[in-house]
Parts: sequence; structure tokens; C-alpha cells
Amino acid sequence: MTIDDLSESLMGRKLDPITRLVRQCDPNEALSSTDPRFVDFADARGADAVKIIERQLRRAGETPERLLFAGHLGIGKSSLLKRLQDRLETGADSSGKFTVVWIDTTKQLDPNDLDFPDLLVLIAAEVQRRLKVKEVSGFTEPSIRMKSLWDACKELIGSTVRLTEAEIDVPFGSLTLELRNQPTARTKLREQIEKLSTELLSALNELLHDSNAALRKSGGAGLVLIVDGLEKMSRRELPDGSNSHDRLFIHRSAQLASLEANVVYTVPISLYYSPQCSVLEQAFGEFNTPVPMIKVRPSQSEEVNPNSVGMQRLWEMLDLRCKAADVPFADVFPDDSVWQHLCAMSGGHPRHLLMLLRTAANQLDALPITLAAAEQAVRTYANSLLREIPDDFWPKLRQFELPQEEIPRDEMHQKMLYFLHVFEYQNGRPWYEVNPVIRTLERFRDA
Amino acid sequence: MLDPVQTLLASSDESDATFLELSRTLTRVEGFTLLIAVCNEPARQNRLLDRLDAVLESPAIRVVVPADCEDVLAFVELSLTDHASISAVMVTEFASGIRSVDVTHPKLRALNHRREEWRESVPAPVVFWLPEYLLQPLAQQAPDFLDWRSGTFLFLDPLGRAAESSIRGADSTPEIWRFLETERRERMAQLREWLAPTPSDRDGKLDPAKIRWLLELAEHHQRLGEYHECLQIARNQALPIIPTDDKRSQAFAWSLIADVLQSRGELDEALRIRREEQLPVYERLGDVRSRAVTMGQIADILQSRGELDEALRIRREKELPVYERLGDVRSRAVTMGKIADILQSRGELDEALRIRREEQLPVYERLGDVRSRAVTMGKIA
Repeated sequence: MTIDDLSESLMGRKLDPITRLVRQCDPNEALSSTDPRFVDFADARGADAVKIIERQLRRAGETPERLLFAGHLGIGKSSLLKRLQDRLETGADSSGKFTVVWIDTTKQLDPNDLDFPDLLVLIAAEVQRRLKVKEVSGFTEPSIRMKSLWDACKELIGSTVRLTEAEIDVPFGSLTLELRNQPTARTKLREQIEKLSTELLSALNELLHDSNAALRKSGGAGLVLIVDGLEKMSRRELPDGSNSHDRLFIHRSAQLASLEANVVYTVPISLYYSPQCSVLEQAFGEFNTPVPMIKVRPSQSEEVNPNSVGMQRLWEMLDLRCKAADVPFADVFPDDSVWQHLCAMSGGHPRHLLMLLRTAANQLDALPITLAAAEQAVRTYANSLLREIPDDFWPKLRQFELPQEEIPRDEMHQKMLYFLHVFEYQNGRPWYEVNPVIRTLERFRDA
Repeated sequence: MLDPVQTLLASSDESDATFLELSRTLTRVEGFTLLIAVCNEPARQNRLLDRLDAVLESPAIRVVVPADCEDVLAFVELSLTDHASISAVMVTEFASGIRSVDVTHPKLRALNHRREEWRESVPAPVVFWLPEYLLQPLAQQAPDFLDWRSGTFLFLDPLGRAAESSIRGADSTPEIWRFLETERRERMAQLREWLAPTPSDRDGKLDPAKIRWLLELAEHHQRLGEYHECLQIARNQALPIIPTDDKRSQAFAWSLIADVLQSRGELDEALRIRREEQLPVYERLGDVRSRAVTMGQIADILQSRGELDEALRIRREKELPVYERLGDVRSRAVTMGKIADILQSRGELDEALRIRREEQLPVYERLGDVRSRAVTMGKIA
């Protein structure tokens, strides 16, 4: 679909320009890289995460890469991973096309309560299912080892749950369902799976190894697993004093990093700032930095500047949305200071920019977007943040009024990053500063 | 500085603008769009929902979430099955059963984890109607879900600010005494519901919001003349659970107790409370306004005991200058009226008359305060 198609479909419904614009600015619509409104922000982030990961995977050869992928909420991680999938599957260079198995953990497991056995079973089931769907020669039927392991598993489970075998066509597939749908039986199921986990991991690795070899033999680049959604896992305190994130990512890091295929795991951004980070590094090696915000300052030491690459990319994003709505940019923003104010206040977070633009537009009966409406949109969001931020955060937030090179590795600061109170930017080295909307609050200034 | 009435008027203008903004959003967006509306008061929320129905092409579907429902999306999906076209979905009562200190609540976690499915399952804008206190737990426990919001609409003025403002100072809050009785009763019912014990209360954690709600409930009883209930709540329920370092809430609880004692004629104890429990707190906090209000309350007691000179001195030297400095014309006019009362009882009628005509009446006229104007006219007569 082109920009013209988008605008024609909206024009066909005789909507007024401001409504057309609002509809083109849905903050939650994930755009594919082929969407005419898609903007590549890589140069404005200071790091092109997709290219870096692709390069790592392509250069890995037959030694599997296990990578962690993180970024702020709403920064477009899923879009970036989809772009990675596209690039891997289309084969951008001579190393060939990868076969990508996309595993969405949020849909198939319970992110409130997720542990390693659940993930192991899901990966085993999904790899078998996808290889079958993709008709990878030699893998359309389950391996004898997987089948016998599944039989052993069913025997161990016994009467713990009744498996809905008829619905699932691969070993362990129905167990994934039960793990998700039967929270009361989950602990018992996990205990039984744990008894077989070493053997299951070994069988899975055998499958991954063999399918990788088969794919390469047929001219492909091999297999890549993208395990998406793990960053949405609840962080819960556990009775043993640890928490659900540490239980999976830290305590089972060795197993996670032992899969015999290229894997990209999405993980909570807070893990990067956790005191346990070194354990992860031991298992995964030095991992990539989280996907940073789009820089609205040219550099850490300079003021926000409309000519910075980041501001220009955000302008491009707004311009493409205006085009899709068939509204001239100048009709929406006759005054440059308005788009500049909205972009600066977004702090380089595209979703927030669209939210602010929509809020500003809905202050008005018709275009253009006025500076007063833009300021009101910022005030509205600020008033909401005022009520959302816990009391004990304020004095600490104050320390990020100006860009800082370091952020303490403690729980409160992990939360500040996770809840988007503090943004991380990258310019060769990271820097951290408060969400610009928070800066407008009296409570912040008085903290 | 705006006086309370001007603030109130300005606030309702702002709420109208917020209503317009929400209406425009609902009529302009297409497909699933998450919107958060914050409103503390059910009667007002229902009025807003009715007004929105009049704006939308077809009335919105209202989904009342039961207290024990953990998976709101599943409940919404069920509620939508019989509807061919949906203009908007209004999710109400979502907060029931969730406390502000609940570190983790399944209802909130489910929102976060099923976020992606909302878009597929609900092809219309969805407005979550929440009380103010829930914003923080929502932000902490469902950050992914909240990050999807296209807008937040705060309907907090003027009545909704009551709970928060009621513990801010020693004076009665205009928002609280401006409740109509039906609204007051409804608000009280809602407060009682929020205060009801929940299974998670057993963890022994104190919900700070509970103190605010208890004090507000006590004040509503006081406004209704239900002194026994007010005293019972303030003295027996609120005071024992207010943390020792929360001096402001303690002082406010004491002020409610003193109000009741004063109205029952127990002046010595009321005076002791004002002087020993309230005044030192506001002095320590540097809260000049609350200190002035408390001095005025002390003067009220002295005046009723016939200690007119001391009462007059306090009003002129301790109370009036503060309101003048703060630009609080209404409180200044009320204090001038009390000075006029003292002068009148001392026989200084000319000065009392001048004050009522020149210092009080014009202010009430400008504020459009018909009731106070009538009372002053009566005193002049």
C-alpha cells in the first residue's frame, strides 16, 4: 500500500482533515518496514540494533549466537524484530536466507508465572511445528527421540492433567496449552518436566542441530529462533527471596544460552541494569546495549535542536503521517515551533509523539495544531504522570534533569527506566535523562 | 491567587474542555484505542457517560467489571457478543477490589499480558473509568498496557479533588461542603466500599489511601451533622492507624474531633486540641494558611466563651493578615464578618455596619455567593 492508497481510502469516507490526521496517528499501530509511513530511525538512535544483530548472526557461521534484545516500552521492539526477520528471511547478502521460527511467549504461556520448563516445552513444540509447516525436509514428522520423550513425559504427568492431545499435532504441544491454562497444576507439571529437562534440552538441541544442518545443506543460512514477549514477564517476588525475572534469566541463563541454534531473546530492559547483569554476561557474552531512544539533542552536551538527526527523523515521521492523511504539513503545522515542541517533549519516543499529537488535535475542532493545544497536550500527560510516579521516585528523578552518563544499578532506577520516567540515549556511549514531560512539573522542580 | 470559588469555576471550565476533548477523540478514532478517564465520583461519572452517549452515533456499551473478575478482556469480549456495531466501550468499576498498596494484582497483570489481544478482540475505542488512586498501581503493574493509551482525561474538578484536599489543611474544603446531599451519600457509599476489608488486607500492610478515605468519610458525616459517626471514625478508626510521621493527617483528624466537641459545647477539650494537637503541627510544617484557620477556630471558641478582646486580637493580628497576604478574599470577608460580630456585641455598631457594607457585601456579590450575601444583609438589617 502506498501513501496515496492510504489517503484515498480515508478521503473516500469524506472525513474532515483533522479526523484523517488523528486516524493516521494511532500510537499503537506497529508498522512493517514496507509501510509507506515507516521511518528508519537507526541513525537517529545512535545504534542500528537490527543491523548489528543481523551482522552477528550472519557472521556466526555454524557456531550459534544467543543474543539478548531489550529496549524501552513502546519503542518499537516488535517492529524492529519483524524487520530483522524480514532481513534474515530475504537474505540481504551472500550468506543466504535464514529460516526464522518466531515464538510469541505472551500468547502461548502465562507471563504472570513463567519458568524455564514452560519455555523449554514451548520452544520444543514450536520448533517442531514450524519445521513441519515450513516443510523442511526430514522434519515434517516428529523425531523418534522426541516421540519417546513425550511418551515418558505423559507417563510422568499421569493424572496431573488431562492432555488435549487431539488438538495438537506435535509432541509437547498440548503440554504448552496445559501450562498456560492450568495454573493450579503448573507447579506439579513443572516438577515432572524438570525430571526430564536435561534430556528434553538434549533432544531439542539434537533437533536444532540436525535441522540447521539440513537447512544449510539445502542452501539456506540456517535457523534463527526469535523468542518474543519475555520482556513482558511479571517481576514477582518469590518465597525464596529471589524474583521471577532472576529465576528465569539469571538462574537458568546457562540453559537459555545452550540452545544449539541462533536465538534472539527479548528481555526486560531492567535486566541490563540489574546487579546480576554479570551473570548474564558470563552466559551470553558481552551483549548488545538496549535499543535507545531517538536523540533529540545532537549530543549529550548540546541543547535540543530542530536540525539534529533525531528531530529531523521525527519531522519525517510527522510529514509521512500528514501525507497519509492527505493533509499538507503546512496546514497542520504552519508554525514550526509547534511540531518542534511536540517532538522535543516526546523525548524521541515515537509512540509518545503520536499520543501528544493526537491529544493536541483533539483539543481542536479543526486544523492547524496550535501551540496552545500542543502545550495543553503536554500538560495533560504531565498531570497523569504526576499521579503515576511514586513519592520516593521524585528526589532521585531530579538527578536526571541534565543528561547523566551513569545510572545506579538498583531496583528503583531499573523501574524508572522501565516505566519511562528516565530515557536512555546512545551516542557511542549511553546517557540518561528524565522524560522531558516530567521536567515541566512543579513537583519535579521542587523535589 | 484565585479564591476558592474562582478556582472552582475555572476547574469546571477545564472539565468541560476535557469532556469535549474526550468526545472528539471518541468520534474521530477508528478501531481499538485505549483511553483512560479518571473520575473519583460515580454520580459525575454517570452524568459524563450519559452526555457521551448523546454525542456518539450509538450509545456506548457499558461494561461493569465485577469485583472478582480477573480477566477483564474476557469479560469485555463476553459483553460484546450481542452487539453488531460498537461506537465505544466504557469499562467501569474496574477498581473494585484493588488497593493502592497492592504490589501485585491479577486484574492489573492480566491487562498487561493480554494487551496485544485487546486490539484484535475489541474493534472500538475503550475507555477505562478509574478513580485517581488507581493510576499509580496501573502504571506500575500494567506499564505495557498503559503505554498504549492514546489519551488520559482527568475529570477531577471540583468534587473529585475532595479526598486529596481534605487532608491538605485545617480548613473545611469547599469541594466537600458543596456536595449535594445525594452526591454526598453516594460518595460516602463509595468510600465505604473502598474501605471494606479485602482478602489482601491480611498481609498487614496499611493502605495510605485508606487514611484519606476515612478522613473524608468522617468529614462527610460531620457535614451531615452525624457527629457520633464522625467522632467514631476520626478518633477510633483513623487516628490509631495514621503513621506517627504523618502529622498533617493526624492534625486533620484532630480538627474533625475538635469540630464535633465544639458543636457539642465541650469547649475546653476543643480548645486544648486546637492549641496542642493542631497548631504546633502547622507551625512546624510552615503551613501559614492552616495555622491562620486554626487560630480562627481558637478565636471562635474564645468568642463563644465571651473572651471577646482576645478573640478580636487573634482575628486582627493572626488571622486577617495571612488571608490578605495570600489574596484569599473570601476568607478575609468571612473573618471581617466575625470581627463585625464581636464589635456588634461590644456595641460598636457603626464600625460593625461599615465592615458588613464595605468589606463583606461587595466581595460576596463579586463572587456570586448568594447565600453569604443574604446572611450579611440579614445582619445589617
